[in-house]
Amino acid sequence: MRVIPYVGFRIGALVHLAVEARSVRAVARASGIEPVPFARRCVSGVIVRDGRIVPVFDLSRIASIWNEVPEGGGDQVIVVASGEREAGLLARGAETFTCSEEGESEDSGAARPLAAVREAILSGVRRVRGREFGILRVEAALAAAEVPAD
Amino acid sequence: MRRSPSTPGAGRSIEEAAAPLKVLTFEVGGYLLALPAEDVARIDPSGAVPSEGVSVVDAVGLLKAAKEPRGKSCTIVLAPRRSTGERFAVTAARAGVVRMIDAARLLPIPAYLFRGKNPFQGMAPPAAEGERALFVLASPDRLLSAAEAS
Repeated sequence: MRVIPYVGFRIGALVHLAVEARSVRAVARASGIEPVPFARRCVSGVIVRDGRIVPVFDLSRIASIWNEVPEGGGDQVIVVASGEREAGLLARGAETFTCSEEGESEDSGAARPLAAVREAILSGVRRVRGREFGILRVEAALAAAEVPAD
Repeated sequence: MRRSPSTPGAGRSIEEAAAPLKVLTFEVGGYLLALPAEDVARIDPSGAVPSEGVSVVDAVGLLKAAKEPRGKSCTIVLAPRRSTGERFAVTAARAGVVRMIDAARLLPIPAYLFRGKNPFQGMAPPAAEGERALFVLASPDRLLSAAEAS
């Protein structure tokens, strides 16, 4: 059984998301974000990495990916990559974990915070240490943020 | 309409791109912006009636800078555009200083971060901790487009 490393993080207080670690380039402090005047509302600002500007998005401000919009903000930036594209996601509580490929969660009957997220941006759900993580489709999240394709 | 370069150095010779850029800095909404000094005709004090035919971009209003001290606010009137003769002005909370910046330090900002046109030639990241990034504006018509869309 293949074991996959993930980087998990939180959007707001309740929504736990994760991306495969191979898609993550860095976890940076949000204090390094430079806000950009006249930028779209979902753009928290930019960070500079290796002499290049990387945009940072607040996913809570992209209405199309939520059934219930969570609280925004965060003190960390998860820098993800898809092809040549790099973008930062404003988040909290970054952590790493591993999970088997077939580790779909069982229905616990408990509250389902992931119901707040539209399924189109998730590729699955993993249950880790008693929490449900929605596995974020980076490609879909970047498309929702209107990051042009390569 | 003349198309302005979207990246620093675009459309310019290598010698020009590497040359220092003389800019007038100004503050608005907590941001540090700059215009090429050669584009600035004059700085009018707050409350001065704009000349007829001048399109005023109210950056102070757009960037929600209403709470900034009004005493030193001003309007930066730009020289008529060589290609079209159009005249623009930009409101500012505070005019700064004329300074030279290294054009090679300007990092291009992705256009998709804005609803309208990308109003900036680029961003000069803070040189030291505690400093602010400097956003160098491109042509005034691009600023107007970004302002109208935001």
